[in-house]
Amino acid sequence: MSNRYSLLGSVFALLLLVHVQVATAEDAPVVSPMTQAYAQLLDPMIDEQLIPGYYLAVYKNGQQVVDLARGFADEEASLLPSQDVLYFIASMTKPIVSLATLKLVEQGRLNLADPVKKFIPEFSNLLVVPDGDLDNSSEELLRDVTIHDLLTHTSGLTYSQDITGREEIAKVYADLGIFSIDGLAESKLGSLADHIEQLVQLPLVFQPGEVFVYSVGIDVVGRVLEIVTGKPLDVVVNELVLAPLDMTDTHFKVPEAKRTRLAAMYSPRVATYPIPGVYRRYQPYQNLPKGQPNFGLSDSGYLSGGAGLVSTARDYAKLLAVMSNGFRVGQQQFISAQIGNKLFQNQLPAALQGKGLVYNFGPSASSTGFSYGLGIRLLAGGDLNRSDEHDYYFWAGAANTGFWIDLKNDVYGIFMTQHLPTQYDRTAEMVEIAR
Amino acid sequence: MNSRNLNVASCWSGIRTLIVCALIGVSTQSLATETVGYDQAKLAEIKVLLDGLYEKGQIPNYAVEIRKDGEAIFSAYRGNTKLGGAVAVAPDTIFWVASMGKPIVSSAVLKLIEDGVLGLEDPLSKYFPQFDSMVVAPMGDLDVPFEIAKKPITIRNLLTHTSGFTYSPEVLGLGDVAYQYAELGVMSQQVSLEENLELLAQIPLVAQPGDSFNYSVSVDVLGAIIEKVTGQRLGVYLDEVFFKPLGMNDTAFSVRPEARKRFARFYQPESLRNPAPSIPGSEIEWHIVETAPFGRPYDGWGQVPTFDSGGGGIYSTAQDFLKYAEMVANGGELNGVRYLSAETAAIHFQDLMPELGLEAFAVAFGEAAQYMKFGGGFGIKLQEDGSEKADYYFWGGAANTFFWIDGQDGNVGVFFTHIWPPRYNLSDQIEQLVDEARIIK
Repeated sequence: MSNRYSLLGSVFALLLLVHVQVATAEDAPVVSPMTQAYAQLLDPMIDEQLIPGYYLAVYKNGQQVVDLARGFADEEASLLPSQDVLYFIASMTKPIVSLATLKLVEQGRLNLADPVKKFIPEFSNLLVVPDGDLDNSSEELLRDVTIHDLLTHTSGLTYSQDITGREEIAKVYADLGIFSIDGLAESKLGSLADHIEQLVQLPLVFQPGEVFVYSVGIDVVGRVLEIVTGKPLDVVVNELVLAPLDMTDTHFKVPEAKRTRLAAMYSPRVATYPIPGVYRRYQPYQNLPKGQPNFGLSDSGYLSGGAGLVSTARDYAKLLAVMSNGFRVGQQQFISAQIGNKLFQNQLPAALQGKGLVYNFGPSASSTGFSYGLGIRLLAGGDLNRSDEHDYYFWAGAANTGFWIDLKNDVYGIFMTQHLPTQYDRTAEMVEIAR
Repeated sequence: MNSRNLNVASCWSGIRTLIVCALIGVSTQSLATETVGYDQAKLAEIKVLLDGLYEKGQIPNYAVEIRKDGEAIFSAYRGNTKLGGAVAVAPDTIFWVASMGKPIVSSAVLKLIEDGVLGLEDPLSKYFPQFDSMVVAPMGDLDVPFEIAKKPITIRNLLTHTSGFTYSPEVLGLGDVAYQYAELGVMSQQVSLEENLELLAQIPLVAQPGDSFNYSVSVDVLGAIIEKVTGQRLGVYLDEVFFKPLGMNDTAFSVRPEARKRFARFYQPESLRNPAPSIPGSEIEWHIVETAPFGRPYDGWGQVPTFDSGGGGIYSTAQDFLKYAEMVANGGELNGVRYLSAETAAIHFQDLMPELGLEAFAVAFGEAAQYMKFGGGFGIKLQEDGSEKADYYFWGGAANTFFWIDGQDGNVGVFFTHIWPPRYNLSDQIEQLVDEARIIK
């Protein structure tokens, strides 16, 4: 187990001890050893004033075994974290929209192999500028971009530089505001369809099927869902996934009545602090429209299949329960196991082996595969094609939210905080503790 | 606690004039003559602390050295100036020490006071008349009625960050006024120091002069006063009175081209958006990435600046900075050369604004500062037993550099790495280990 912060952990050990003891007294009668272990891992982030608060839920054999809240979800409003607090889950939207897509596939309304140009004709005219470097001469498409490519981030699209894009083209996305994070609250470009209209003017950064490049692919899928169903994305996603799974607190736009349950967004505070000791290293996120402490409140954003949802840990647990439970909801089959199980199979080109995600997420993402919306963490030396060598499944949101599914141990967990960008990822350690 | 402890508070109890205090004198000499030893096993825990961070890939390198009576009692250097690079961090590695220039400039001002060139109560307007009638926006809030400054800003105020000036928000600036600093680029390198003063004089103060501690551009203003009265550029003057005679050959407002290979790069913790690369040949799994402080890439650092920023522009090395700290700890003299009188050296450690009380500093810096106050250009860390005795005197820089002078035996130490913004302000733990290692014979 890689424990990156054990040293700081020990530096703050005394503080920590106090914390746990206080918690034991307050949360009487019993705080389980597992909860204490999670507190020991996560509380230093509060003690070091890196984030204002967090919420963690862990489920084992279908039962919630950890319900851990610390600090604040919104300091100004004194909102405490809980499983019913609404958090901007950003890229944790992607598994939901991927699942909605698979539902349409099951219904025979869409094929994973369909070329995107079937729905968005401009996709037939795309050019490729290798490595996204504008100095390279452009190439014609060697083959069409498919729905499968979009879902697996192998379409050749990228992300804006303010998200994960690293190519020169990603700078152009950023300059134009194409599927930017801040655009979710105040879209320079207009609606989802308008973003697509800009996107198709730009070249791809690789040939389809070549390289894993974390991308706006799922946003394009969102538009495809709109075109296939003739309904706006929020309606489609609600009909296909949220309503059937009873995820009643998951929204693109937070209803007025739920606003008091919405967490506030924070970001790093850059302070040139000249004295020893710990200081506050977060501050309210500055780029939201006045009076809006978080995403999910604006009417001037765009519907984002890649990043647009606000949800609660209680709701998201329903999604993870379905995935962990053979895709059944009660006695009903939500989606056929045959199609659903694609989520647990590596969908990246074999040539990438377990190294595809390194391109965007660095060496710590080696030994990782990807399906439709889920990352696949391999056991050491494991083979992506053998599901018994998959360690766990996971994904995360840009605001430092994350989840994992540990099928072998029948465990899943959801971590919520609101710090943009993700700087404090403890998923690997969290997976270990529940085992 | 023994009688040799530098007791700052007693000097000031009931005595409000610097002159009387100076006459009483504070025997800093006694610091160096004490018979003190150190438990090496305890000191080795410093290395354990820092190696833990280094081996987990959280700091790119470290330079730590502690000296007493001219001897190193502990030193440890690890890592390279660049991840995967070939130049090892050593006593002569150059770091941007940023705000650690503030104590040095304060020393220069105290020297000029000693020389009779400046007066502690001189108004700033004596040197720069544009500051003779300032407007105050309390708490930096532009939405409440302004006040007229009731008192002039003095050199004492500038030395103690009680001028009413502030900083831009990223340097802990206060209120709307801090955003004005940022918008107008106050003390940025876009324009000359004189032009920066013109900008500064246009902006309201955030508090009445003398009323509260606000970390600020005050030391840059002191630099301007030094330039005015000496007729020399700040860097030239500091070089003449301190750096050259002390042998601080790598301390300056820029990095000499031939020294640049020893200049450490800047790092920040990785994020999902900006993951750490893998470094060929390194067995450490790094979790930091190179960064560009204030948006300026590495190559832009160390260049000759438009003006010499006393508050944040100095580059130095561990071995250089220790010389400065030793000189101050040793009562203003080092290796037979006197730089400051003993009385002047002691002023660094005196609370020049005792009427503000202990809370003033904590209000500015938060919880971590609850046992701290501010002296003549130095922070003062008090013993946590409520005795108000000094544990150590210190300051730090924006890129994770720190130094201290021990209040009990006069040992001096530095802890440098380059994480921006500072993340591992560990000098307090390090200094604590030194205290625990001390054996009084």
